[in-house]
Amino acid sequence: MNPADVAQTAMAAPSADLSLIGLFLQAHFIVKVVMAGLVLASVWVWAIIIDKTILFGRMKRQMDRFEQTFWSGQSLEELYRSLSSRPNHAMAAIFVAAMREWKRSYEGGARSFAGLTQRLDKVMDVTVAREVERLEARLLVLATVGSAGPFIGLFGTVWGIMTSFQSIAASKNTSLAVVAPGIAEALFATAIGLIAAIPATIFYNKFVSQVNRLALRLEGFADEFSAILSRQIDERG
Amino acid sequence: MRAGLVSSAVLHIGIIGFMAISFASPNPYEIVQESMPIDIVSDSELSKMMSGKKDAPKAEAPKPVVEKIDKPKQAENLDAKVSEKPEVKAAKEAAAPPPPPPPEAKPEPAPQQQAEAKPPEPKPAPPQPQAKPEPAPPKDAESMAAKPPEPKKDEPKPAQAAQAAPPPPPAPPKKPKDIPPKVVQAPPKEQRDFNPNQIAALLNKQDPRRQAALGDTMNSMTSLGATRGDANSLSQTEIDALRAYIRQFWSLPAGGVDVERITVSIRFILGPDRRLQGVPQLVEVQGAGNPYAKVVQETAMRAVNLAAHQDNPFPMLRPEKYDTWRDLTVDFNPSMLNY
Repeated sequence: MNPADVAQTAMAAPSADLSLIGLFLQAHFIVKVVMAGLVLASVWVWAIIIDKTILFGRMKRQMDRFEQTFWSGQSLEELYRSLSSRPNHAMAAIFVAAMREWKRSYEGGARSFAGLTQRLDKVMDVTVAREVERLEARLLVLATVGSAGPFIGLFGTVWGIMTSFQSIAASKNTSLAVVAPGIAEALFATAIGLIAAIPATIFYNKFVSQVNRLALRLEGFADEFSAILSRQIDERG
Repeated sequence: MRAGLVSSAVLHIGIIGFMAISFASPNPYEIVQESMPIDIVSDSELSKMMSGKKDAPKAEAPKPVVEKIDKPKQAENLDAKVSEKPEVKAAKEAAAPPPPPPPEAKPEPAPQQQAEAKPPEPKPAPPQPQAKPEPAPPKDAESMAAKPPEPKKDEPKPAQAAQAAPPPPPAPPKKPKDIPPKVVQAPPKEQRDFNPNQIAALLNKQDPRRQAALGDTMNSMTSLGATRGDANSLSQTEIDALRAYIRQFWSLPAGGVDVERITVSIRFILGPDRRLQGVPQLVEVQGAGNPYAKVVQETAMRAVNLAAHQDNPFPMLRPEKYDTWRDLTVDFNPSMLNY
């Protein structure tokens, strides 16, 4: 930025409009990039937040319903047949995976059921892990924005203050009216960073604990189901 | 995911649009101008600092300077260090005599007697007298020290007094300066007389210290300030008030020529009660060649006396700043009265 430009921005500054849009438009290019990036990050964060909230809520309801039907005494074969085409949630996926393995062993006419329990456990563990991973997907974005957002905003602020000081130096005028718009504009970057970061952090914490709870519930179900299956194996074998 | 993205984007656009409308432009501050009493602080008041220690607590009252000097306490042993702490009693104190002295100097702890006994002592063991101040000045020197000639002089140190006091024993061969003064007082330091009435003193292994015989301040508390600061001073308001006050009493007969060139500086000392102490002194007269100068000088002197002898003299001087107005020098100029 050559001094003439700086001087011009400085001269223009006092009469500039101080609305938020005005602040954005008169900011330095780098500060603009920072602000735009932070706004995009905020949009993305909120998209993830909305998505996850819907996902978790739906999953919890589906699990409740599934557990109800599972423990209602309905035949597991029937349940399997109704779900096998499209297991639409995590618990159903575990159930279907285990049942498939069970059926395959039986219908294949395996001579020994010694390894079956182990195989079932393994299949269910893998499914649980896959489902938990699906739940956790994109949570890392929230964590990143939550921790890096303020820094990015701060970078924009520092840069803005730097340029506004350059303007002061070039215009040789230190009245507050010259300094203030540049600083206000620079601080705006930090404000956006915080606006993006605060919900990201809060919802990251909330979602992590929810994922943990759901994972625990899935594992509990897997263990219970494994116990039922191994009892069946012992009875038949 | 798409639903989330879309709704989030809509949300942001909505918020930004709302902000663009509702925070369109910040309201300018209303600048209210209030009238305010202003005390003009003189430059010197800002640039000068009270003297003191940096880590001392902030004292409300400045250290007032000792005004009257009492009869100085006699220092028995001038070689000992001065301390501000309560007196330390040590048995050593008793024995001050030089090594060669006659036996009567040796005995009991009557230092005064002993000191008196010494100066007239005519036959000096070579290293002894004159070269340095005697441990204690004789009586007449004391009384001189007690009444310093000027009220100004705060601290006639006993050492000075001792030097001033010439006990002129005629005989002694003038051996003087090259002999280190220690020779005399060193040996007796080790001696301790056992006096059962002074057990506490005997148990105390400290070297005896003499008390500061005279203080230069009455308040031994150190106050907060810079180590090299010198003073605070009157504020401009107080100076103006003082000037206006004295002007009331200054009546200058008209009729001089070039009177603006004449300036008379008069210095006077006030007590804590704001009354004149001693006589105002003429410090300097500028333009003394002018025949009118004499008149200016006399009327100014009269003005000071008159001002100081009112019922409530100098009402603008506050007691907590006594330090600053104790010693005042006022310039009298016929065109204006200057502080």
